[in-house]
Amino acid sequence: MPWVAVIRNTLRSLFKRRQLEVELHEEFEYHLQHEIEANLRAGMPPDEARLAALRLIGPISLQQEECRDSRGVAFFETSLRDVRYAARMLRRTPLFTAAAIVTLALGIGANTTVFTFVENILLRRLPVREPHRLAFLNRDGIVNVSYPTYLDLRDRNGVFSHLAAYRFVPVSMSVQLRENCRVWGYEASGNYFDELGIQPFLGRFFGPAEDDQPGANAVVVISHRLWRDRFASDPNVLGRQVKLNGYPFTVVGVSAAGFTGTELILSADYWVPLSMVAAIEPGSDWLRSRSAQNLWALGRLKPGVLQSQAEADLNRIAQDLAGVYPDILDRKTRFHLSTPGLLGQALRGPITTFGLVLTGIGALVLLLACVNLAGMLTARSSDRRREVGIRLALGAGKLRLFRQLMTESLLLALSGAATGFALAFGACRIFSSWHLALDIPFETAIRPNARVLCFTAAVAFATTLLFGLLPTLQTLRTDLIPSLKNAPGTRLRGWGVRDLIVTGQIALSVSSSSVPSWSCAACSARLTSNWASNPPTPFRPLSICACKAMIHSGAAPSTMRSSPRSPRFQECAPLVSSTIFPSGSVRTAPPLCVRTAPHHHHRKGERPSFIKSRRVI
Amino acid sequence: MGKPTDLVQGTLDLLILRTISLEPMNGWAIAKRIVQVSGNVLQVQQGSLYPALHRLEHQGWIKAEWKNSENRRRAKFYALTAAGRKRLKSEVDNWYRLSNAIGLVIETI
Repeated sequence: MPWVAVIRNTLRSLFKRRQLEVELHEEFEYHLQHEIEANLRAGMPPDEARLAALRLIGPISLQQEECRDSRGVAFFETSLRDVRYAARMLRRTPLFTAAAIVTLALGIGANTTVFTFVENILLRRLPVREPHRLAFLNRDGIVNVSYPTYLDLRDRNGVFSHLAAYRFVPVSMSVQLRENCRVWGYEASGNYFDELGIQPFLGRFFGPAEDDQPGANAVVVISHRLWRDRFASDPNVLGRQVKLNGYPFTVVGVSAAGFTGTELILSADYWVPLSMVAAIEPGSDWLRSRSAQNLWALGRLKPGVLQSQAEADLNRIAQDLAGVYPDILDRKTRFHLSTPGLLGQALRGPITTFGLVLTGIGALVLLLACVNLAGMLTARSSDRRREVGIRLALGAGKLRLFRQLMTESLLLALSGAATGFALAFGACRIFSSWHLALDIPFETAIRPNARVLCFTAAVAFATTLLFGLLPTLQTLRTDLIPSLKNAPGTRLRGWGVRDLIVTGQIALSVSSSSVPSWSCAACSARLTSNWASNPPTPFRPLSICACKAMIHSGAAPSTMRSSPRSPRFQECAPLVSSTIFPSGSVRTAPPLCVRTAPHHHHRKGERPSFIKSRRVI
Repeated sequence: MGKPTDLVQGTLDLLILRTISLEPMNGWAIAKRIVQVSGNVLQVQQGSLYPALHRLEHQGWIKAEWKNSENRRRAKFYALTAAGRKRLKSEVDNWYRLSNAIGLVIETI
């Protein structure tokens, strides 16, 4: 079949309906007149001529209807008619329609929100070249390796085209004199950007050559966001000096806007070569320590290499290493590769479980909505028996009526889905605007996208079947005669569809309301039992707050250690009645506990005013 | 006596394609020609030609054009498309194969 012509004709049938209709009548009229004229010429009287012509042609309106059907768009036209009729029917019962749409909107909205979460966090790939070939290295439930081990893995493996390592650390960044901001970013191996195969927005990324000499290349790549917010989108940012923990670095590049590092939910603002660790973390020497497992490793599989082959190769290297360093690596060590983006299995595992639980709850809510709606429609179907009866009596086909009633359900579902999508959009905005009260830049922004929209549409169609099918079939089982008499019909049978629906509804409601309360009870029981077995030190939490002073300065560690007691910190003294400094390395910035002065209570999450008002460091 | 319902759908298509293969024709003329050429054997109920014509047009085997007819009224003239010409050939071949086969069966028994 010449498809171009078919498509052209279909479009013409769709959009030039009026013209085609006129032509159709004109064509039959021409035929009729021609035939009549021929008959007149043959000597028939006018009346006879017309009747003979009509007899010869046959039932004109039936034939015209067949012509319309043969245009190939009967399906669309019927659907359009059905939708109009359905809209009229739904408008006639506004309360029912509103209730149905709200029910569906809640169910579909909940599922769309959950799917947005799953899609944005679990199904999203890193914005890099061929992300499916990237694999994150997990080892016996932990995700970290030490730098020397990383070097061994990198140099001895035969399965990765690149194997990069990186670490997410906070620094105090000073763009201008006496102005610091705390930002998080990566110390990354030199092959990091080569492995990802991405392009910078400005300037360049650093390469392996800038990572081979410790302390030699003080270069930094900044994120697009940092460039916009801290550098006012300065086009001449390349070559500028910034201080990271007091050590001067040169900006060599700005990453593209969509790239915030290789962990989806942690957004990085800078990248420096791993060889600069000593500059950023003064006094640390973990690059040479096999026991300091500070790095995450991310490999790009060579084309055609399977995950299992790569794991076998890594395990072989681990075996060798275990022979040399038995105190670091166990002979039973097994490597396991996972999709990158969520700290390997460390976050992907729990988040997947969480996502599954949410999906389950969402599905339950939707199922409940469908059952509710099916109940409402069944009640409505007994009101509509008469209408259906009349239409059946007038010769409507059951299939045709089925289609009409299902169109009504579909229209309801689509309206509900549209409202639900709007709800989900709002829910996602609320979720995105929520920031964890943590020091780490968690990326919680989730946004519905085209895939989510497709999901919502699919859910709408599925719900149509779920809530519309049974009531529709029941309506169509109408017995003609009792329905026309408006008699109760076949309602005295034992167990009908309606009873099943009610039973299902009760079961679902009970389970959906009891499962969360059981979970809450279990959680709270667990908390109290822990509380009972390990009672916390008895203290009055009122007016105590934990605050964290970042004392990165690049100065000698001894100075840093004394700095909390420095004169400037003491300026806060009038407001602070006592301070507890946990022991330990100051480099890792442990939280300090401060007891504010008695009159100086603060609400949870609010920073005490003395921290706001004074620059401690 | 062939009535329209006796005409297998495919057969009506074949008749139409063959009839307009010589020159573009309107519906009335096609109906007349089929009756006339078949020696009044094939009596098509004339109106039922049109659904077939419209279907063939939709499927792209024939194309239609409004032109003035011999009595100077506007009529819709149908003509074969290139695809339709190929289709006619294969339909004719099919027809001969089928009728030969049926003929063989009848003569042998």
